[in-house]
Amino acid sequence: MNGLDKLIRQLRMHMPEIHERDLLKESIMHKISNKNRKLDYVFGWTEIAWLRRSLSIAAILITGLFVGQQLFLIRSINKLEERMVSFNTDKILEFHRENVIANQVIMQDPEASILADSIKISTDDLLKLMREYRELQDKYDQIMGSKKKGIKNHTVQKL
Amino acid sequence: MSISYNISEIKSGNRNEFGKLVEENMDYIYKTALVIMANEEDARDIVQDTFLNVWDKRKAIKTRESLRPYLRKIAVNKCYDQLRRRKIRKMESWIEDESKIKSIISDEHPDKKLENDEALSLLKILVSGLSPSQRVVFTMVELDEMSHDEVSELTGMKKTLIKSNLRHARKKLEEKLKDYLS
Amino acid sequence: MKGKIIIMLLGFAMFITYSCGRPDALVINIVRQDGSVSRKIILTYSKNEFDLDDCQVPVDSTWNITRESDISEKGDTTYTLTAIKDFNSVQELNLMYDSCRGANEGLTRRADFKRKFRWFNTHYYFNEHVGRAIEGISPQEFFNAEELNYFYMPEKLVELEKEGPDSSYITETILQPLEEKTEQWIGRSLARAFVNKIIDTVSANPEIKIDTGRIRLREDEIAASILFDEMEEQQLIDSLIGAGLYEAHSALNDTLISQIEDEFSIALNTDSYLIQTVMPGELVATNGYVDEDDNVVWEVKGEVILSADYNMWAESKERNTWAWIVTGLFLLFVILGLIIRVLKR
Repeated sequence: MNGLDKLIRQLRMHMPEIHERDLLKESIMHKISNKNRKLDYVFGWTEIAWLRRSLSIAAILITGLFVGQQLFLIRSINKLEERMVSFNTDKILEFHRENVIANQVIMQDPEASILADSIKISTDDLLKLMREYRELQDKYDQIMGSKKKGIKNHTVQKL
Repeated sequence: MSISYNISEIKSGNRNEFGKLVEENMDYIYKTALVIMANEEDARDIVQDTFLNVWDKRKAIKTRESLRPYLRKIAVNKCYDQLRRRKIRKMESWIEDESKIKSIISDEHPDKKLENDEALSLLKILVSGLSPSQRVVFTMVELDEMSHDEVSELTGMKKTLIKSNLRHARKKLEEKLKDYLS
Repeated sequence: MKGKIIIMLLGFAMFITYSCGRPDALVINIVRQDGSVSRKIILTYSKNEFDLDDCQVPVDSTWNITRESDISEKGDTTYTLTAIKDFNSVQELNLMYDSCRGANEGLTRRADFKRKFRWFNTHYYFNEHVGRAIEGISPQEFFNAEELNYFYMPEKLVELEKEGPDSSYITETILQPLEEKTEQWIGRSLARAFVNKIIDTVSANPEIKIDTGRIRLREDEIAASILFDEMEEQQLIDSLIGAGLYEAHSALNDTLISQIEDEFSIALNTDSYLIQTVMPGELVATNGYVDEDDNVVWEVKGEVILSADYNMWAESKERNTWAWIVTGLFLLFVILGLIIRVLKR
């Protein structure tokens, strides 16, 4: 019997005993008692393989559906916005001219004339600005119109 | 071996029955974990984790017989996972008490009972420096006296791999002892 | 026959450039989630003469009607009649179309509403359909995409384009050529409709021995004859169906021609009007035009319904907030469950 076998034999005969055994057991029992029963109840399904797989697949599918739908909608809306912009070209040009003036006059930026031609703005912001600009324009026209017109006759007659 | 606990009760969440299961198996699981981990604290953690794991998955328990093999499998896997996670475990220092080792090997006191810390030191000599696979195979075969079939079933290793791991582990340890004693 | 068609063609060409003396009509459909529709008809005219029985769209005394007048800077008075009515469903709207007696009574008009539940959003689809007058050549077959854009474009938007910075480019390179091409298309459409009618009749009548394939091949000749007055009436008929056959089947030919005349007159007599649709939620797609006030508009005019059905559709969506919340909670539940399971191990 060589040295290694002797050591193994000795160890087999005198395997270390568990230290503070009761404490360990108590700790185990304490932990299982303190485990969140509600959490176990709610997430018990994770231990059932077919349910776990089904719910995971459902989650992936629903995420895919969401991403797909949103992408499709964004593409549709963008396409629509492009058309709206193309039909309001005049307004954009008016806006553009206003912007150039704003840069040159209000901001007093010496490079404004160069920068003005390369302004980057999102379609949403552009449309918002255009709407606001148009509202202002309409108000201005109304004021000027009512001044010139003098008389505006409105008769409302219900049949 | 008669079983004192009722598996159906455990599955339905009876803590008292589970307590019986712990009582009946904790020494055995502790020894299994200790020989592999060669560290008391690690072994205690493995015991605790093993029973908590069984409690968490009690509904999925399929066996109608003793849960011991099931518990042992969980414990061995946890030990193996932990060893692999640590990758290269810091080499534990060699035994301080040189004379003790020499006396064991020279057969001066063959039947003298080892104290816990002595036994642990000895265990550390044996397993430190072994790869996780070698460590698991060596301790299970040599110290836990398991058959190669049992080890294969527990670890999923092929028998040829078990034999090769065992051979390499023994060779490594013999060389280490030789160096140490010279 | 040819003489009549040419007269009709001239009439149509005049018609598409000059609107007859009826009030301008704007139909506003306000579509709701449940499929009910509030319809508002705004008629504007220089005279305070509104004949509801002769309006472009069906309207009667059961509608809620108000009248207004407005005097411009120049002193011209514009009279406005506004009629509003709520319809519980598009079926009610269609019933009204079925019993339509007015300027455009020959038109086949249908409204359609669909609600599609798409979990995260609910989509709404509304369509106003006007059936074609004749079985001619569809505009999609004849015009390119840019021409189609201006072909269907409401007149008021065309006018805006003409006033825009690219006015000369648009007028010279698009609108003028389009006008000429439209004339060609009307002639060809009439020829196609005529050929289709002959072939249908011949196929249904085995006594008449005419090679229909040969007639189909000579469609261009018929169109040229209609457009450029190249052949005499008798010559054209003889060249198509063979000498002597016209006399033999003159009754049949007259029926065919009167049928085409009737169908063509539907387009010829169409008095144009604007349709505007307001959808519930956010607009996501439409084949309509967006006017200067961001309204989606279409114009029903003779040429657009001549030889193709005209569908004026819009699709919108509304977010189902509850579905977003339910989905979010479900995903959170699954992800948390999986994380907890991994942590347990």
